[in-house]
Amino acid sequence: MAIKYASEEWVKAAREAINKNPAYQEAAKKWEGDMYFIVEPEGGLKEKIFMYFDLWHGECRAASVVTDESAKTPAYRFWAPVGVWRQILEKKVDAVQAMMTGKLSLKGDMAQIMKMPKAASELVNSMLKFETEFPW
Amino acid sequence: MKEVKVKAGEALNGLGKMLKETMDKNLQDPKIYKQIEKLKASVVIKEGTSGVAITLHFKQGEIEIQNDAIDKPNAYQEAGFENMAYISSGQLSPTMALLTGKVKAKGNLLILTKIAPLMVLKG
Repeated sequence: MAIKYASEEWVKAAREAINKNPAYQEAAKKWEGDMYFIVEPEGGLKEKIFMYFDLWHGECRAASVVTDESAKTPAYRFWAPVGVWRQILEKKVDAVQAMMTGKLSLKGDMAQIMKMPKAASELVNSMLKFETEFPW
Repeated sequence: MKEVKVKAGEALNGLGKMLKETMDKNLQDPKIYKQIEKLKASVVIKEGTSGVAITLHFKQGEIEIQNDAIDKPNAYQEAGFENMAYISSGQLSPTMALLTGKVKAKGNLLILTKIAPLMVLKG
């Protein structure tokens, strides 16, 4: 059954998928840093959604939807309109391609991202392991 | 503070933003700046998977960045994101990348050698 994107249930499913992905665990074994995945309004989505992931040495220690942006101060922020996230999760656009074209933006310590480029792609690959529904 | 200038009227693509961030930091290092201080050249850098490219214009101490590839640059470099990242983080030497085909290069390779330290992230 498809899970509604950016819901609490989706975030938990993503956490489980990350923790079951050996390729991510290997690629991100030195990764230290939590992040926000920010879904920007577009179409029927009227407000920003903040998904928080606490990633540490190949493990997702916590994941939740955050209603107050200031509730966390993550080391990294990835943001894009909901349509871009949808294209990525439906495999119509590669995450790297979205990043290179500037459709998907990021802020954080680039040095760490550049040290572990596979970690980012395996993180996204984990999120493709279950079916996602976009109601907007 | 020395920094890479964005071509007037342009909003940089993601590749350009990443490279500008790295170069702006490295330009503060006098040793790195000295290496490109007298350089007059244009260099195209392309991310192979997405096809996204930028052009850097070196004008004797000034650097301008613009989206897309210009025709007939002095030097050209193309690599996939992963290899670009490994070079940026110092895990892969640009020379080795070139010799093993992980990076494609054309034109004046000496220019690419000169600007290589500008592209390597510290920290």
